[in-house]
Amino acid sequence: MTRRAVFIMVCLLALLVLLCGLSLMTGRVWAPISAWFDRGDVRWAIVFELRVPRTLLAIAVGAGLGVSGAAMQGYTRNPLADPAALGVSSMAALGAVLTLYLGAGGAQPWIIATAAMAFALLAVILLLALAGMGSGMVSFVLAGVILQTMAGAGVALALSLAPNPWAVSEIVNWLMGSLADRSLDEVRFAAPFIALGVGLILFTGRGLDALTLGERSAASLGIDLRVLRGLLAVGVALTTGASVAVTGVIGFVGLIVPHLLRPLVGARPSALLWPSAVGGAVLVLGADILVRAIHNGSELKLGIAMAALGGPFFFALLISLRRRTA
Amino acid sequence: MAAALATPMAALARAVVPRRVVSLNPCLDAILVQVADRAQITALSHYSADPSSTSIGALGRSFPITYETAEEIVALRPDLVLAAGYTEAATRAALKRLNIRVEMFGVPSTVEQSCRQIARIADLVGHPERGSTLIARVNAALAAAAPPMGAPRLTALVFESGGLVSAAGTLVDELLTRTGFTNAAGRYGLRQTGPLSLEQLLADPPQVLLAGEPAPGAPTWADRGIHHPALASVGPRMYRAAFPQHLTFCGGPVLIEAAAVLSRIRQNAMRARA
Amino acid sequence: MSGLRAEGLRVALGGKPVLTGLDLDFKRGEVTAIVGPNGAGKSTLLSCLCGLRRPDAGRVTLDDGPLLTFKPRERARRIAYLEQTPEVAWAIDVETLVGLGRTPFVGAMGLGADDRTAVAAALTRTGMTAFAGRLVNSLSGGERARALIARALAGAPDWLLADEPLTGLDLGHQYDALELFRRLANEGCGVILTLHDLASAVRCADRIIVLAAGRVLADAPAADALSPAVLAQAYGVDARVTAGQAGPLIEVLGRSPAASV
Repeated sequence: MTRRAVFIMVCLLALLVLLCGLSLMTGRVWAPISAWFDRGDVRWAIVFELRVPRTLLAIAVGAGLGVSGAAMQGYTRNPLADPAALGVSSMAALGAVLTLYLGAGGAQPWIIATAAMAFALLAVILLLALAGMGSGMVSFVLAGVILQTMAGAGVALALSLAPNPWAVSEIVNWLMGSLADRSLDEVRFAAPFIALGVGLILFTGRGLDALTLGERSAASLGIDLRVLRGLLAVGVALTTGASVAVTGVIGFVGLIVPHLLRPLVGARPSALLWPSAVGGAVLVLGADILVRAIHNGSELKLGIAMAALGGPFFFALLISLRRRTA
Repeated sequence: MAAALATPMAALARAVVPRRVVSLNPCLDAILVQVADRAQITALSHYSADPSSTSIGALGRSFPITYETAEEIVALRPDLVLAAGYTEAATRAALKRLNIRVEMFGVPSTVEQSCRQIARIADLVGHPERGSTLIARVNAALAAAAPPMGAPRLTALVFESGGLVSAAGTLVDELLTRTGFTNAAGRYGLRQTGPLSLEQLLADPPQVLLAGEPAPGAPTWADRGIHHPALASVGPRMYRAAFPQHLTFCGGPVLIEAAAVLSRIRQNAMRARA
Repeated sequence: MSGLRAEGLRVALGGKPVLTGLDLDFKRGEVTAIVGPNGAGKSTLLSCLCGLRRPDAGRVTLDDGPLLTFKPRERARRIAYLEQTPEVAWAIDVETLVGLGRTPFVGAMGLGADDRTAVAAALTRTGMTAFAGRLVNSLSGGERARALIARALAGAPDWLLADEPLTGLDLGHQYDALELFRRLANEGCGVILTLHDLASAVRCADRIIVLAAGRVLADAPAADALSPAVLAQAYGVDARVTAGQAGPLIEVLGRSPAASV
């Protein structure tokens, strides 16, 4: 890594540590550091039973989504690629919902997560197949949007058919993700899959760099495109599927983070991977802190906050890209 | 051995009356404010302070409220939490991990179930006699609202909030039956509470249409069906009456006012048909 | 024998035959230009020779071993491929671009000292050292083409296969590029180019292969391959080859009655 990239990484890590501290303090109840050591204080329970898992989960999910977005953009050579914007997260939610509500006895967390990861894999395969057909940026993004719409509708349909009187609020829960009140069990459950997925994705760096020159040149440089595709697909499916299974759909992380870091660490795809992981963790943790700091009414869902941030961002990105290619 | 321990333990449990009760559901709020001491209630759900979703009116605004996240609940240091299925699973799991006592309630579909919930809550807060009193008042109200023997039944439809029609097997359905109506929802093939197409309604209108007025400042898109001009064409064959929406949300003490309103509506409808 | 050889190469695309049984032998230290009309199969031949395409029949061997049995990384170290107008998807600088040519050599840790030396050497050979820090998308057409050639050279390959490498270059830079290919061959690299421009081909190539409709019409040292008969058959033109100051000149007099086979 270049000296500049190392510097950026150190800054991001420092920021992450700072946010961790802030995360443990922030919520409806302010818990300063003095409360962390007094077991009798009710705030101790809040910090260690509620906020620690929430912080760890935010870091894991943010890192996974950030690096997935960076890798998908590197592979498709398309800066608009992102697991949530292109329907991978929604498909994972569909898998989870189908298992949870329509599967026989499918309430086991590992069954739900496996279904989420399987559906995420299906989505990635569909998207990569489309990207491989050289269909151009617009068609690719359109395909992703269609996938997302269909999967979202599928979630709503499944929930409305299921004999569940709280179907409507469940739909909202799955499609608008949240980190609220998650436990260490969920962290223990999702983190290994996310870590495995991130690990696989980090192996794609060399191949993604070579793809800068296009698929033919990359193949001529000795890159096995099928292995690359496989690593990417499984890596993204594991991270996205495991994340969605415990938090619901949280979007735009994979879109925003690489885009913000590209001017800082350089546009080479492999250089973006590690920083996007840390950057993603920073973004999700920061957004979650913000959501908890707003004390007006019910707690805002993180997925909504990310959409509010990411929607205009996506739009601005699209406009700047059009101007460049027009 | 276990049996020998059970009785003193149960007695001990009964002796410990909860002093800090938090309710996470507006229907449980409605029962709680009637059977518990004011000092016992630490917080109600935030819905009770919201004019468009409360069943207890201004009374709800006189209590502290919570937005039902685990953090807030823990900070209130409750010794008893009342929750329903609407409470998020993650929150319930979090409270369980923190060893906070949570009592779960379902959605009552009959008056009997609703009364049992009243009794259970009254027991939990250590005032079983208030529970009995409230149940007696509910039964008295229903008896007073019952039609005279041999009086004809009117077919009726109730639109709950969000444009949904109450189906058979719900609390509203039983209320209708006991106050001299027949729920027409079954005629349209409605097996669970859901939207009804106006076409079906116009083709075979009920004798009485009960629809709430959305509260001012709480617009919902789904309610516009009730104001559809097409319904005017049905004219005198169908008697329309306002049925406040807050009477459809919950059972418990709300049944008292609901029964009275329905009785009045039936009398007016009979007069209109005469 | 360190050679690149095609044996009985047959390729069909979309049902139509593109290469119809080619047998060709290439030597290192030589510049071979493959010329021919549009659709003759030049790019397809080049793809097969560098292992990007599996022929429907026949095979390509490198140093007597079938090319497709080589590990991709091993093959990539020996054969560099420069495709026609490659895209550069991201806003990287020239040095990073040339560094991509070291992909078959680098591991997980990125570029090492050897790699950086090779990159510097490639930049020097193509005269792009001053442009090392510039973004590729800020370069002119000619500068970009030279940067891409530098990328191909960064791996110090035994073989350089380039598809229409002169596209977008002005006369001066075309001259430079051809001189570069010449020099590479003199240093022992096997250079195989597909070219549109016959004059360039004659200028720098030791051997010219004329391909038309998937068949070899001529395979001879430079100008010998471009006889009027071959030109008529390949391009459907009536042409004359005369001696010019810097090499043979080809003058097209008109269309020829003999159509392309």
